[in-house]
Order: sequence, then structure tokens, then C-alpha cells
Amino acid sequence: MWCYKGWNGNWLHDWYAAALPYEGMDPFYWILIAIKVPQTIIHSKFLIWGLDVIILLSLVGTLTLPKRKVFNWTFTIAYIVYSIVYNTFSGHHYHNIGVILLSICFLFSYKNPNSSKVFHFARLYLCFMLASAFVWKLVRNNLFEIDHFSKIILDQNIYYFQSFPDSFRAEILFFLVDNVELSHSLWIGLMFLQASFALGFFTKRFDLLLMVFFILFMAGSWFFMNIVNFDNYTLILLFFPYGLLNRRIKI
Amino acid sequence: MPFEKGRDTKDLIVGPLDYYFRHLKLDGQDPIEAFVLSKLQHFEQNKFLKWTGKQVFTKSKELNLFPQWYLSFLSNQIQAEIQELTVYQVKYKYEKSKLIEVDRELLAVFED
Repeated sequence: MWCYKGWNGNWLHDWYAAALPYEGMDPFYWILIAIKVPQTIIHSKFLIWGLDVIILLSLVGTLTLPKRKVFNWTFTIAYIVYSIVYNTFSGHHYHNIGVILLSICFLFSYKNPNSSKVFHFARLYLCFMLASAFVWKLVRNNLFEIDHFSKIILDQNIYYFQSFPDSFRAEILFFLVDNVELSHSLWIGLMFLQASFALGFFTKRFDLLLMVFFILFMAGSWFFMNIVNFDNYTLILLFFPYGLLNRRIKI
Repeated sequence: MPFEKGRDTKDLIVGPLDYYFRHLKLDGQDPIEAFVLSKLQHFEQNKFLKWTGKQVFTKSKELNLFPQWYLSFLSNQIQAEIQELTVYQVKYKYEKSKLIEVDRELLAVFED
């Protein structure tokens, strides 16, 4: 994934000397920008290259020496710094917390009796993230507006439509925009997938199903809304239901 | 220019540019500053908040540096030399399964 980000121009050195920090309405970013942390990093070739290389090397370290937790700690800290700097200069604070959340799960040795609690917490947090998104849409009444999804499709895919207006995918999306009842049904379907993660609060019996729902939801978000939370795809590991993982980390 | 890479790159290219033009629409004022001042009238009276705002909100120097940085950034992203970049705001309407351009406004020309 880190290599994909590099190919896609998302390593920090691609941002060298970025000019406009975006603080948003987030006090955490306000503090960091006020004390010039992201600005200092982005204006130093040494620091940004150092951070990119540290992330890469710590990933190699975790793969080759999985018991040496120093690589996990290094990666997690470096990736948090990377995410903060990325969000500060990309003009938007992305909710790509998947890699960070998952890497925290691997900070502790599985021999540590408390390590499984971190997985429990991360899994619950993921359920909360998705289920609360459903509640938000429900409270705002988005769920019952018949042309809501049709408008979202147009809005979210505007760059795609500009670039590839004659593609097969564009044809499907235009068809959905024209047929509001059909697109509304899809919207309800996607929201049903989100709502189903509330099950995860009460039982782990349906984790396999939730894993399938997670894949469907992410695929639908990409295909219909052009939403690609690449980092968050890694969270699928939290719903892995089979015995190997259970025995190893006692989920 | 079609965006042939992933969504990340599209956001990456458009995000900072969009943020820059949000400043220009407010005559150089940071859009977050404009929002905060419209919501929190006491912001300017509180010494700490005022100081924080000065450190955090966009300064004219940062704004002036943006076009040059953006040219080199975009050039790296698309792996091509850029001598001039013309930015338009284009408005579309949707009709008969097509996007139809209804308005095109010149926003800026960045020159190397």
C-alpha cells in the first residue's frame, strides 16, 4: 500500500515546500500549525525524505522481524506524523484512519494478555464508525429523499464525468442519475449495509457476514460515489472470523 | 487533462487549488478565519484566541508562494514541464445523460 501511495504521488517528499496549511475546525491542527510542526517538516527535504524512508523500512522490518515491536512503534508514530502533514497540506482533513487504527493493534506482543483488548476496541470503533454514519443520515432525513443519491452520484463523479464521459461506468452512473427510484433503492441498500454494523456491538457471530458487507460497502462507495478510503480497506482484518486469528490473538 | 491515476491523486491535485481559490474569493482572508469570526464574536477580544489566530490563519506570504509551489507540484505529479497554468471555474448542468457546460470563468493564470 505504501508503494501504491508512492506511485500515486502521495509520499511526503512529493509535497516539498507546500505553501498553504489547512487548519480546518480542528483544535489539534490549530495547535500543531501554531507551533509550526507541519510547516517545519514540509520545508525540510531531510525530514520528509527521512519520514518516507522510515515508513518504508519499518514496514520491511515488521514483515521480516515480526516479533521486534520496535518496527511497529516506529511505523505507527511515523505514519501518524505522515497523516497529519498530509491532511494539513492537501486542503482537506481526510478520515483515513484505517492504517493507524490497525497498526496500533499490532503494537503489543500477542503474549501480552491485554493485547486482544486493543483488537476488541478497534473492532468496536469500526462498528461505531459505520453505524453512527447511518444514524447521522437517518437523523438528517437523507435516507428518505428520493433524489438524494442521484445528486450525490453527479456531485461525487464530476471529475470522472469530465475526463471519461463515454466510459461504460459513466453510462451506468448516468443511467442511475436518470432513474431516481433505482438509485434511491441502491442508497437504501448501502445504508442497510452501514446500519448492519450495529450488530457488531452485541455479537461476533456475524463477523463473516460483516466482512462481506464491509467489502460490498467499500466497493459500492467506490463505484457509485468515487469514494476511495484506501487506508480504511485494511480494517477488513478486524472482521476476520476464522480460527487462526482467534487462537493467535484470542479475539 | 484526464486524471488517469487514483482518486488520491485527483484530490491531491484539486484539493490545495480549491483551498487557494477559497482565499481569493474572500480577498485573501483565510476561509476558516472568516467562518470563525462570523460565529464567535468574542474571538478577537480574547487575547489567547487572537494570538492563536495570528499564528494559524493564512498569511499573505503563504498565499503569494502558492502559485509557484503549485506549478512545481503539479509538474511533478503529471511528470511534465509546465510553463503556464490557466485555471477556470466551469459550471455544468446535467441534461439527457450528459454534462453540458453553461459557464466558464477565468480564475487565474500561473506562470513559471
